[in-house]
Amino acid sequence: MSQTSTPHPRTQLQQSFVLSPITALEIYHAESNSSYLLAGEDTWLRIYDVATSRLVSQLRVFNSQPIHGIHAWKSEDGTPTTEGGFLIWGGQSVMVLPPSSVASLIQGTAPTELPTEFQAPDWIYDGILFSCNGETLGALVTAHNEIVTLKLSSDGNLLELGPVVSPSRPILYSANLMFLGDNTILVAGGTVFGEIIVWKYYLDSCRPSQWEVLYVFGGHEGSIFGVTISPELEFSPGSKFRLLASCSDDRTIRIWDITNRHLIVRENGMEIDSKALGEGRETGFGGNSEVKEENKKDSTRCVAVAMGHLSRIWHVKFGEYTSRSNGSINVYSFGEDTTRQKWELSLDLTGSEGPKGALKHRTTDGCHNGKNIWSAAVSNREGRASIIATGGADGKIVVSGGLSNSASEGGFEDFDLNLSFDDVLEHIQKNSETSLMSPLAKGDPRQAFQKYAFLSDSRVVSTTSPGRIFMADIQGKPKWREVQLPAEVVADLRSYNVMKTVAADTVVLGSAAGNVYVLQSEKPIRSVGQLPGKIQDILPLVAADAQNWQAVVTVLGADRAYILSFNASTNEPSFGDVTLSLKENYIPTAAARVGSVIMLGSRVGFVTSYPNSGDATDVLFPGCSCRDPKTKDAITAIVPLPGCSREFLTTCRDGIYRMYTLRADNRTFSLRHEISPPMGMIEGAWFTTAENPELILHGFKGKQFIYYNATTSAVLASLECGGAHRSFAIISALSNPNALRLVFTKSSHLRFYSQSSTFLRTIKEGGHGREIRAVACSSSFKYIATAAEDTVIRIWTHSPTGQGFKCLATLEKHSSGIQSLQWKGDSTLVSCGGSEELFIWDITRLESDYETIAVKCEAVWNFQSKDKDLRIMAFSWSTNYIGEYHNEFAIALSNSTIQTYAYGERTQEFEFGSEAKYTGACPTQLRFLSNGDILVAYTDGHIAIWTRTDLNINPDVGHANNSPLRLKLLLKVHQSSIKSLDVVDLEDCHYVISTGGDDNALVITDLRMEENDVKYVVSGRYRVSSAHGAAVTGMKIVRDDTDMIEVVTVSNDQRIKLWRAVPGEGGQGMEISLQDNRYSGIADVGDVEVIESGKVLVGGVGMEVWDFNPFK
Amino acid sequence: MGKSSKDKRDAYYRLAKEQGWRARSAFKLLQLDEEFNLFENVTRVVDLCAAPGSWSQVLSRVLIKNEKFGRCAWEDREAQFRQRMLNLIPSASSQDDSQQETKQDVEMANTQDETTARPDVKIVSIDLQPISPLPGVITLRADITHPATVPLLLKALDPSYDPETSTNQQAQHPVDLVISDGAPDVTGLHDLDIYVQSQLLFAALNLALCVLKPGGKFVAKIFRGRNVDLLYAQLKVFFEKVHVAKPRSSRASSVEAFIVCINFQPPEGFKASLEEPLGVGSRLAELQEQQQDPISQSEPSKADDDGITEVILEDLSGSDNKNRWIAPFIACGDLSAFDSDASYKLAAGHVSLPPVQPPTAPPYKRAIELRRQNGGAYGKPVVAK
Repeated sequence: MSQTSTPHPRTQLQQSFVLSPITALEIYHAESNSSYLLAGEDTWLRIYDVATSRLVSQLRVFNSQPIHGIHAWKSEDGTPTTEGGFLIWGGQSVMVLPPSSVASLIQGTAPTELPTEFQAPDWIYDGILFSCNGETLGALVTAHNEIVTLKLSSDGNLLELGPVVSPSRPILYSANLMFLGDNTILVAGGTVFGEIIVWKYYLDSCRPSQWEVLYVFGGHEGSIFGVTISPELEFSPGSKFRLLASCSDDRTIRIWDITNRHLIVRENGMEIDSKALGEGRETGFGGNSEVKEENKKDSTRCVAVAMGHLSRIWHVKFGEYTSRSNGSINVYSFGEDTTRQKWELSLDLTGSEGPKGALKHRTTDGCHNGKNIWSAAVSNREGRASIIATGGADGKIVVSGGLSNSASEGGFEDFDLNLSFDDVLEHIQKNSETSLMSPLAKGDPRQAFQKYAFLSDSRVVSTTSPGRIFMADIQGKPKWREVQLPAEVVADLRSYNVMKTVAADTVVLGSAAGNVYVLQSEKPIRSVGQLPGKIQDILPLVAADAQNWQAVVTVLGADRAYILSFNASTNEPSFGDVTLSLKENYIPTAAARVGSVIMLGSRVGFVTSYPNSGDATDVLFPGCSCRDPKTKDAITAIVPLPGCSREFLTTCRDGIYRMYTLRADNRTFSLRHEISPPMGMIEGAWFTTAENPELILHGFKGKQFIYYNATTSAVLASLECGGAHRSFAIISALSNPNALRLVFTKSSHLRFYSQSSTFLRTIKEGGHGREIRAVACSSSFKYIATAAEDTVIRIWTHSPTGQGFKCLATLEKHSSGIQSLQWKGDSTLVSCGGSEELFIWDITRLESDYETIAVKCEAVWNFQSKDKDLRIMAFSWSTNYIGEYHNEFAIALSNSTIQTYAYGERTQEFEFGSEAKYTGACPTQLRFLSNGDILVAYTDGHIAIWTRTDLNINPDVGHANNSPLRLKLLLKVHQSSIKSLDVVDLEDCHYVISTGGDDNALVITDLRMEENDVKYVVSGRYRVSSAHGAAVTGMKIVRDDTDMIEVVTVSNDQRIKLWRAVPGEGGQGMEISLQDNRYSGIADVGDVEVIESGKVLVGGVGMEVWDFNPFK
Repeated sequence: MGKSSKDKRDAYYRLAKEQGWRARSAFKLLQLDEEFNLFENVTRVVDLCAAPGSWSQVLSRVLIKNEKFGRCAWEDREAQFRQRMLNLIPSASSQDDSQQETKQDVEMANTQDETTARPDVKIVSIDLQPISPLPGVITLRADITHPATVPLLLKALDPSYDPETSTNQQAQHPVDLVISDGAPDVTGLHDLDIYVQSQLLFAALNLALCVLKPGGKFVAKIFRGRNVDLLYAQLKVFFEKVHVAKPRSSRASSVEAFIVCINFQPPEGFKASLEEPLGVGSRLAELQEQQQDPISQSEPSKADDDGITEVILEDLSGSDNKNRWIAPFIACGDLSAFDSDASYKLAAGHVSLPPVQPPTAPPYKRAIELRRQNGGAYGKPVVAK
């Protein structure tokens, strides 16, 4: 068959989107004073504006090689320059983008012509550009500790300058280069076997040797994953130091002194070289190899050691000076555990043996999803805050620093104060404008802060155990004064009080004696009544406007709750006649008005409606009270969704937030959405006032206070506070949720924290932090679900910009890796995986202005074995053969069995049907065929078709088909495990099954059911043996005409291929042609799925979209 | 997870403990041998990256102690029974044959024959990590990538070898088989892991080229990932046959496979040396250029024994396949072998055995100890068992 005889043109593949791990980062300061982030994302260089997070431009640098490193030319004093260009490398591929290309990229346009890819002799770990005798040169260090020097030819291409030079060739895991001037490059290499080699490379060949080994450092007990040479550090004028930082598999960070002055002392470097490197040495780990005398000496150059991170540490970088005079500087480390950690290195520079120091842990910031920070960049410029950027396996880029005018946006300042009771007293006394009502003794440990509330975003009040009230106005910093109170109020509030903000500039207080007070700025406190018992809590009912507000006031042990109302027309808060009847032991902890209905939440998780009865009764009774069966924790807030009178959200101390819809009866409500954000306890929530409102949550996780944007899944602030159960008050600028003020008690101190903007900003949103295993698209192509090894399911929609996707929800319920996903329509998703988990999810749109989807787990398959240690490898869902309200499920378990179930959409329960065990081989794929039979693929390379002996059993009454399963067909198609499968019914049970194997093969099996439905007739099995270089892990039939099918395959060899299979003359044989074969950036690929006409999504380490179109 | 849950999840882990192997990987070598007859007429073997020593243990038990391991070592009886029931092994006569065979296997499984012990067996195992002694195996602690390791190895093979007088790094009395099961601790950055594994493979190959006799065999672990077809083509420069093999005991979910190279045929004039190793630089590419016969994909046959038709592929993609070649894939260990991906039910009263050898101490051992002393990781207490 030749191409001309084919009536159809060739189909070709074209990449249209890629979200991949960020494997390289660099910070570039342009002359315009703007800072740019250069990111290596697969083969692409992407340039982001640090201040605005905007993607400025992008450029595909290499044809089929991910970028591993970027070096932006830096002038010696660090000032912006247009010289030099960018050096970019990945694997053995290298390219230099000249200054003209850099300029056009910064302008937003990619250069049209690129230099040729230069191939280095080995894998590259680091590279630099530098100026030498007026010429721009480059140097690379390879994975074998070799230096390759480069120069640019006149046409911009790279040329090797001299021979490859190395003092010894151990295999490295990390390396760093620094140009020292004077034709000298300093090289540091961290070996796989835990050593660090520091050496000098000389560009001029007139010296006796082109290299000189300075040090060999032993001490690390595992592979060295990161080494960084510091710039020349000057703590006091004239005293200069150079340090090396290293990080290792042994979870330590070490700082080494590599200051040049010691080199002069060392007399014969060459001799040490031969001793240290010349012989065949034992280089094992674990302290069992003896340390050589020279190494011992070198090891005394270890300045400081610290242990950190929960797992491996990939990078370590030097930060800004914290105090030059004290000899301290920040060091940042970046790990597999997705955290960046800040360490303060304090040096004692007085010793004669060189500097000694200590690394003190400062902060830990979680930055990414799943695992691994693959790239990091730190830029320190004198007089400016450092810019620190991280890139993760999740494809996300997070940055701190680099904002031009930070304080302006939210109007909030940046401060973090820790005040004792005495500090506040002193502050009030020292200020001439303020004074205490009466003296308070200092140093009395019984005096403590009690409750906090914000009157406005610049005014906070605190009640105290002596019954006095302090108020602070924030003008740059808090200015404290005392609120003047009558003596009887002080006595009443002493020891016990509660206080809540109920409206703008209004807080309500309650006392043990049952007195309720209202406090407003510039007004004396006023008593608004006394209730029969100790005031337990004051729960604001969200007011429609600040002029009229209401709050539910609860009394200890009472059978009712009271409503305090303020009406602007009367200008007087008062308790009305209406009360809320409470069941015995019902303790309200949250309240809100949803439409006309008051909702209460209880201490043990009940949500209760109090419909307005319409009668003018004094007492409102519960309309409906129910709780999520899993919860016994307090409801902490009820918030109506914006722009909607029926939908509301609850937050709970069980760490979950839920959304409900109030039904038309105004009594009952249904659960729509149930999500666990990364918090242990949620204490409250609000929506931003933007056109597209965002949901902001706050709560606790371990010892941290977490402030979180649930819409963007971004942690906006994380503060060590000592744990939950403490008094706190929080306020944010409604239009800018990143600006925050928080006041809370920590170890009897008042901590006052204020931020103008979130410390960590997401420059680019990412995806899964581990390998995607399954991709499924809803039937109208509306939603795409992806599931990964990180046990998370993400639901995406096509981005409004047309490029890529927007993540709508993250579902965290699976406890181990997810194997398979399938949609039914646009509103039901099923997922299965390890630990015998299979969940059915209900996915709907909310009516409110809060633009997201509501997701809840509708049902859980509950036929687990005792140990729950099998994996559900695959499942399929059919609506063909069981009555109207029932669906049929077939699942494949790792113990070689398949099982069928009926599932009732109304009952939301599974009913067991039948079971069949195979040989012991593990099933990998399972599909219902259109005739109700079950197609299963196994690790032994066989496909089997199982049939129910009686397909027509109980079709209408909605019971499971429990007729036995019988093996109807068994075919060998692969040598070993079948990793991927797709099947189409061309017509009348004529099935074409396409399978991909661990044996690199693609097999197309053509079979049909005989007319009498007795057996399958196999017309042929057609194999392409070496379809890929590695296991074929994903497959999708993208065209299924009767005269031709087309299949897209993806493999661990990172090729995406499109095949066309055309039946031979008279249905005999099959002609298969390879239509296209492209490099794919997705490693460890798990699945491929059609996401709209002519587009497939590939999921693995990242995600990629490919368009398939007729060749033009 | 209970102690026996790994026994259920991983049949070969359980079998290894029951049959006294240091690691489950012993079965990989046994299954490779079953398919390729690796040990046939072999007396001199070098095992690289050998720790904890399960492959050396196989060598010791097969070549020194002359034990024989039939399929019974890894055969799942129930699977066999069920295969018959499901007509996976169809005809009645072949059933008899296989029963016969099984019976023979039972007898052959783990038998010891003192009388036919092979003469002059020499096994040298090298690793950076210590290997517990094994009968008849010389263990060396050395870095296989270091040039100084070659004289150490040659000396271990032939005590008469004198590195002072010998001018080259070629063995006087070369070996029949070089094997390597070495793999790095993977980082998760697939590109880098594949590169480091390829460098381990080249390190093994470079050493093998120094000590292997013409006609010898080379077996090494390979990661089947991006550009693995370049690697296959490079290995084909030195061997007549190159296969990529996956034993049933190697998980299908793992990228690991084994390259089995048969009949060492060094190119004319080629001199191996660790001073000038292959795997970096352009030396291999030059050798490939010189190669006279361009490698062709295996000839397609019409229909194989299983009734599958090999398709003559028409490649319209126009992709550049220069220096790329996909080695034929062979699955090792027959169908009745335990499935390394399946979960198994344990017999009633199953007692989970302790591992034959504790796993090698990880580099972060000290970090774990320190954390435990300080009351656990980040305030989370670690409960001592």
